[in-house]
Amino acid sequence: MRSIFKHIILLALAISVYAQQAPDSISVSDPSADSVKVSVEAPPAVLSEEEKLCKEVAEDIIKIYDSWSPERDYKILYPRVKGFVDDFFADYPDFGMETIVKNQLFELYKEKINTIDNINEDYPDLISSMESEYPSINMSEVINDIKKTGKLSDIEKRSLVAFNGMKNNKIFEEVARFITTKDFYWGYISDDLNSSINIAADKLKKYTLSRKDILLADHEKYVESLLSESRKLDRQLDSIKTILDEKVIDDLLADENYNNEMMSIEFKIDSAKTKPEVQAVLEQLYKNKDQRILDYIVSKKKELIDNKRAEKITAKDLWVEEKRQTIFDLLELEKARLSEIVSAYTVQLEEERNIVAFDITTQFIKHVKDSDPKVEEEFKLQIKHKFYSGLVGAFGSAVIYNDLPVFRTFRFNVLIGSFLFMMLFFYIYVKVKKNREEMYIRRIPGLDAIDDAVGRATEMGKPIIYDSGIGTYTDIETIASMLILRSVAKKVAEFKAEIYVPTCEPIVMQISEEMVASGFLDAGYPEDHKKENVFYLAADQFAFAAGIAGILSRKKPAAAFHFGYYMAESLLISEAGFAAGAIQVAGTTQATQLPFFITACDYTLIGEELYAAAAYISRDAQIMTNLKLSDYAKIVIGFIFIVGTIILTINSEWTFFQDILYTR
Amino acid sequence: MDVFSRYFIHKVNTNLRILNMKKEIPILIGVFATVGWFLEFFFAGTFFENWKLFFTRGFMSVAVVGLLVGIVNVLLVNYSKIKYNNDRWYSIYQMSIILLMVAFASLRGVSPGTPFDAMYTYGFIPLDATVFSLLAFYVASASYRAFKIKSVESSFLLVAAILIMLSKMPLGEAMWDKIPVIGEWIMDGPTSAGKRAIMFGAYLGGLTMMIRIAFGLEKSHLSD
Repeated sequence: MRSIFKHIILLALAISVYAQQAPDSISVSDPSADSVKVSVEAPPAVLSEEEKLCKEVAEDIIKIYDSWSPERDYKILYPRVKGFVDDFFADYPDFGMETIVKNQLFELYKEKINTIDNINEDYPDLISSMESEYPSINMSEVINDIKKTGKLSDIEKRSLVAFNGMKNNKIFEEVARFITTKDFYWGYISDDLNSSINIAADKLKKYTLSRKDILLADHEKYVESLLSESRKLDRQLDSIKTILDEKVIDDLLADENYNNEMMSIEFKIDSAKTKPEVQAVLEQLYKNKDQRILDYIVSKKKELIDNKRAEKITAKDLWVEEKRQTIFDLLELEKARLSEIVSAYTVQLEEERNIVAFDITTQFIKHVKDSDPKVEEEFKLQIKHKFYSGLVGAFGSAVIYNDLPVFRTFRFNVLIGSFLFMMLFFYIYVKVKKNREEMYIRRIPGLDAIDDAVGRATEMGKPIIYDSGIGTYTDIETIASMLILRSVAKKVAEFKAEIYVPTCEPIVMQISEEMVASGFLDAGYPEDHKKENVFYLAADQFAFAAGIAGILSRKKPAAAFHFGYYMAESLLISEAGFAAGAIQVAGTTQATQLPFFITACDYTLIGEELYAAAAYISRDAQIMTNLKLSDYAKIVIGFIFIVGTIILTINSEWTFFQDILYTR
Repeated sequence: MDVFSRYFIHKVNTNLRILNMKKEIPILIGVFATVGWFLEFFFAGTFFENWKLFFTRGFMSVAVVGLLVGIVNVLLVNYSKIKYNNDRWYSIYQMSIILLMVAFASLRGVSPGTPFDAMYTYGFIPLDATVFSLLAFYVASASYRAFKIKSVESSFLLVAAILIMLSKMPLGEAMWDKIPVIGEWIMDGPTSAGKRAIMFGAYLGGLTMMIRIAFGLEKSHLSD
């Protein structure tokens, strides 16, 4: 034991030495850092190394863009779009201009219309302009139709004018929506066109930035400044708390608003001209316990403390938030920044090629419908724009993500900690294997009760219900529950009782079935295992709870075991078990659910006891290692807690120990 | 037998043994997945991300297949119940609802406005909420039992519970303005200390279990 501590202390010292060195990278982003504000409008005459790189990237993008032909994609995509548009118009022949205009107008006026007679006087250009835009519509007929239905309000008249100005009409919007949401269009783009983009982007991978850490390290200073700022505020707050009343007067004198206010409330300081004189008068007033000045000082002091506290909290929150940023956020930031620099060199390209937004416009659909000769050119441009924007976007990841693994040096302490933990694990594993019989495990009443519960079930001729909560098989509690299930199943087989295992997840059901079968096999009675007793109930939390509650009330089991991951359904299940009169043993690591289990069940395994349960029942060396390692780790970590508390209590600025343990 | 034939038989045997590795292959998959996940935490790069992604997708695929297994299991279990007159009506009801929903979803889709959606929105969700709301009554009955004074500890519990309840309602503050402060202190102090201790132990237990699985030492979940 001593040698372990000796090694741990030596390693801790080594980590502390390492931590004293400047970290290679810091995972805090600084949106306002100078490095982010790169002027993309006017690149400087002398290019930095980074800008040179970005310029090269931009040139390559232009080359790839120019060398890429949209012919293949056009040939695949255009017939699909054309076919769709034609089909759409064939299916909905009613969707003509007239229909749309009439519909729109009727929709506007169908409810209440005041007057439409004077529409020509009020809006002289309206009817004529609508007629010129939609020559096939007879507007006087439309208006007559509207007249029959009622009158027109001012708002509606204005709407009519607005409608006239509406450029997009309903049908084309509808078709555009259909086309863009259909898989044949976007699906194709996201697969084939994206693969073209990816192949092109691969060419840009030579620009992988090996100096990523340096770029990130720019933020180190910012983090440090925030840290020192935060500590300064801490000190300020402490000083404010113990501030002397005389000191408050000094602060108040420095406060301009205070001075103005003091002047206005006619104190005896009218004659005092200079600041020291004012101070002297105030001090005198304070000494004389003038109620007004005392009240004022108290209120001002409170305000000052509140302000400082608010400031402190804001800065601290900001700092904490910044610290929480992961390296990926920084990479995103870097990506955006570099993309901006690159786009500064490719802006020209966009202007030259007249590249606009990639979208299915009504104009485009009109051209497709009418088989306009312009459509080919327009469509190719659209595809090229998609390719271009995809390329520029893909370059970011090509530049930032290095194919070679980059070690996250700021997590070095976690790596050391992990190795230490693993070493401790293997040390204990070997030790436990040697002295298995002598190993002491404390009594867990809940697990002792399992034998009694199973025996009771046999005597009463009633079944046992075992459920493992709503966790999936990736939850560690569910895995622990499965190990317990095997031991319980073994006991059930030995006692010749019957066990039902309803599950919430199909994979858990399969594993549970396997566990029960293994348990019966361990006991030497594989033939007693009934496969249908392990079944899938429902994936929904409350449906599962209702199902188990139903089974408990119908089967009236002698014992019910609830081990695993539980949320709100814990009480629903355990109360149903209580009502059914079953002996209940439950176990979970969810601190929020433990009170419910403790209340409703006879025995409860609290937290880690769930993991210890399998060891306790089986006395298996590996599982006992689990238990012993947890205990040893608790001693080590408890020791670290105490040391950290002592250090920070002595001096709150001695954060070196905290920094060693800090994980990002 | 010539050397070549012997070699061939040896190869076949070896391969068959590989095919028979029921436990070893899952353990190997587990080890690879864990190592990838572990390294991804320390190393940045597409290689490790893809490694992680591969196993994430794999898990998703398994989960989808698992769902199918679950549905088949539900149908089989309920079928046998109907056949052997065991809780028959519950099973008939469940089977009919499952089949009805599958039929509606297949014929009319699942988008809003379809019968499937209507069954889900107006049938399932209210039922779900009903079961959840039962919790209120269960909490009342459970707390009645919990507050019975049986020992010194339970009397502490009762006092703490009364203080917390009072601190959460306006009456408590009206009685004495310090009650909310006391309630807050109980929640922030002793309660969260206990909760953290439980969580702390649970995380350590979880961690050790993870190591056992990661190194392939834990085989019992593979029915070893």
